[in-house]
Amino acid sequence: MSIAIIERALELGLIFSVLSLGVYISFRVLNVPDLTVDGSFTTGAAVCAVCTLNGHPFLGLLLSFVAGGICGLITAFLQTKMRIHALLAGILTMTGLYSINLRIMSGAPNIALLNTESLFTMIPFTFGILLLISIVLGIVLFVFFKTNTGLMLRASGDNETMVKSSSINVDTMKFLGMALANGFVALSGGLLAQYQNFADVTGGTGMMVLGLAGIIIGEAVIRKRTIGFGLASCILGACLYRLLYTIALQFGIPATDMNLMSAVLVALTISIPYLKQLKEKENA
Amino acid sequence: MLELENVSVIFNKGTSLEKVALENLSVKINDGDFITMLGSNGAGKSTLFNVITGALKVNHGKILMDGEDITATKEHVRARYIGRLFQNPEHGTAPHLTVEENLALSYSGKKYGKFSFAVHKQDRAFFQEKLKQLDMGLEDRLKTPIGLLSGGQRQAVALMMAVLNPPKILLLDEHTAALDPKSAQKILEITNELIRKEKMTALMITHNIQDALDNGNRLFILNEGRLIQDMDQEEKSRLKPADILNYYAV
Repeated sequence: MSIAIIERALELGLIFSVLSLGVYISFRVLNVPDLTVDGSFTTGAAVCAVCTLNGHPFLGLLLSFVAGGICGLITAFLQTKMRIHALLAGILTMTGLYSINLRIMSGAPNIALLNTESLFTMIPFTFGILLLISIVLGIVLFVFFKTNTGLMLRASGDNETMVKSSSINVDTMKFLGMALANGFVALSGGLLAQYQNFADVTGGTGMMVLGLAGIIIGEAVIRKRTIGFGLASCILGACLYRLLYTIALQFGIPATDMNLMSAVLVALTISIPYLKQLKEKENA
Repeated sequence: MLELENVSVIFNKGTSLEKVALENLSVKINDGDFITMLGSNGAGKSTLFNVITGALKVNHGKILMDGEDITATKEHVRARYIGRLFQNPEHGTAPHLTVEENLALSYSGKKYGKFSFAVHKQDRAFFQEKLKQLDMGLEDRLKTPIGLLSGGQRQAVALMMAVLNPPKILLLDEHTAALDPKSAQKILEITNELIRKEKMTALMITHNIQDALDNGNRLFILNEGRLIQDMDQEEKSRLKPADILNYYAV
């Protein structure tokens, strides 16, 4: 494996670390498996690609974050005001977004960004800028989660019964959390579109699981579960996952099999604590 | 002062499963009252709490807090002046947040604003001083996730959270029932002390008749959705546990 391949793997890892940070907010902090991700990731990519094509790469990234936030608000609305089960709410938004994404891309299934200015053509240190983005976003989230509003958001996911009987409005917290989570997810999609110079309407498939895989690998390495270490786990885990992915490709595993690998990995890791318990009971 | 005027709650109204949980209940709770509340299962004690907090809507009647009608006020808005402690210690605190973060949750938002840091250096000393009153060694465990503490310790912190931001009325829903006898005793002592010190108004549901007689200045006995006894300090002090059993539904 050459240095260039490793560097590219890490760069992609850093882009997906933003995705993992987003999934962390919904899955770990709010304690909701949010399937909006598969749709909002593409929305971010599509919005960013259209803006970049029209000569506004930075605005594109900003707007992808905003667009993702709106996707999150829709899911939160379905969950809280319409009382739709969290999983179904995410699936409904994701399904609807497929049509929206195609409209954003003017009906074309993909957009190629050839000979256009992007973040990565304007700033030559691709790895450096991605590392900076990832770490700055991680720190911003860390600081946010230490503020009063951040604390309320964490408490809402941690103990809804308690929060409901306190003066915190749980619904508001869900809106905020879902918007933030999908904003990060869409920003990751936007970054990927500029990095790969194209956006594809099917690009979001499996992104929820991919983001989760990053979190889980990170948590396996960093054993501490505080919010700071949790966010660090996302960044480290996403990079490690991408390295493992690249190694697997080098061994000749076809790229099309990787979704299966991610799904199996997440399923196994999440069930290991239960399987361990089962074994201990048998022994006892 | 909290007033309930002809409050009725009917579950599954109009079906064969119709159950009157509260029937035309009217009562005045004065400032400074510490009321203990007895009654068999299904007598309407928890329903009464749910009506006061707004977790449950009333079918008839009005709820007034200091003369203001709060019948339609949302639960999280009422929570600014109504505190509640549950039987299950796990319901009162957020397990993955540390002791100081849990305390900050009920204390810091009002003091510093929404986007300020939740835990300030000067607060730590204040929290430690408060936790020292509990005499459980919690003052040295500010940075421990609260899920790692025992049920008694969690309930003590939950009680402290309710007091840091003194509510107009504190509702205690069998808050010692899930604890071992020693912890239960301890929590009850702390409850009494905090209520006296902060001059709080409180309502306590219990199934322990002795606790109901030993604590508070007023006693409610509920039966089948009605308040069948409302005794003051004097009447209460003359009662023996055996007398109370007569009031339970047979």
